[in-house]
Amino acid sequence: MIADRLRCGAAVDDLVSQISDGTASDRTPHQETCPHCQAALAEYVRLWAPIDALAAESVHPPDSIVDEVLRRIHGAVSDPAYGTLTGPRGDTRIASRVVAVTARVTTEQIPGVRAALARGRPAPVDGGTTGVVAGVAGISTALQITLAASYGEDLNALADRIRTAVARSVREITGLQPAEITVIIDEVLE
Amino acid sequence: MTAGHSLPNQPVSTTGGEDPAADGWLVGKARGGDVDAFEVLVRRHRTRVYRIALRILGDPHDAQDVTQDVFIQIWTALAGFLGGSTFTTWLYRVTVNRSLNHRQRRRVALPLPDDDPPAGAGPADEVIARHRARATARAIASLPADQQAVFVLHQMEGLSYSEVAAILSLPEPTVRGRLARARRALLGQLRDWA
Repeated sequence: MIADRLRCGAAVDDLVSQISDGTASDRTPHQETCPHCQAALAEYVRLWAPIDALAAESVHPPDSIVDEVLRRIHGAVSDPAYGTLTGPRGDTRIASRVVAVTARVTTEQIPGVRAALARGRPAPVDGGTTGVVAGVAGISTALQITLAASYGEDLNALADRIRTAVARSVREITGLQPAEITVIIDEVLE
Repeated sequence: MTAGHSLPNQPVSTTGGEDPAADGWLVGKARGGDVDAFEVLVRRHRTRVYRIALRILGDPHDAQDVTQDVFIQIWTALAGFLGGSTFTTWLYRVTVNRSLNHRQRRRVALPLPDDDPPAGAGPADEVIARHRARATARAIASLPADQQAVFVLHQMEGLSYSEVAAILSLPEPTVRGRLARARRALLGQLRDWA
């Protein structure tokens, strides 16, 4: 058990709060001269160190959490639309969902964007297929990005920046060609 | 959980990069059945939800189960969320309640660590540090439920007294009292191990 007060009369709870709030070095005039308080503060700092270390520890949730949640909601991860990159040693299939995530993450990083949604949509290529489509002359995808922007932004300029950045990242990350990127600014937020 | 502004139109949060206005927009979409919007909400908040569950339960597998259950519950209850509080206040409340319920059902006394660090690879200092981290996590997980929720939200997650009070529906003085008891209990345990 830890006593309620030190021999000098100082409340232990106050000292513990001081340590756990990270203000151990901000000593009161009494603490500057009191050996009981100085000894207790030094001891509590030492004891409290594992708590601070644990609080600062980086925690990464398993990636499967998102997939599991979506699977339980709607089976949303079973997106059947794929783009196909044909190579000399075999094909690489990329789900439209991957393209959508790439576009969304890229959009969210652009200043002026507060939140974004993206999904593959029917591509303007022959055959009438949907999602990310592989054509004879290459591969293409069409994207629709819906977002909330910060109030005061030049929205046309923002949309252009999004198209440029998304087209580049989708090409670089997936190898697919964004044939059309529709930007819908659904809301402005203060 | 209020967003401040250091630059025009760029949200800066006092609580770990949150953006309540953007959350509100996403919640509105999700309430209309937009799974994409809900997925973005899950991605935005999964780390903190998982971390709170992990600190309360002390077990990564249990924390993963609870995190998934929390978001499923949130999805099914979205229609009833009227926006009287911020989304994160509601989300963290559900997280704490589910974690504590899970802990109660589990009814497993979490053993305190052995006095000796476990054998393992790596320099002695690293082994001791890992051992100490595990022991500390278990000590937090073994706090009484009322103290634990307050301690995890304030001490580990850095939420303010008023935010914790809102999440747990408690008066602020109660939050402060429980926090003080939790700190002293932990300090006593840490001293016993030292």
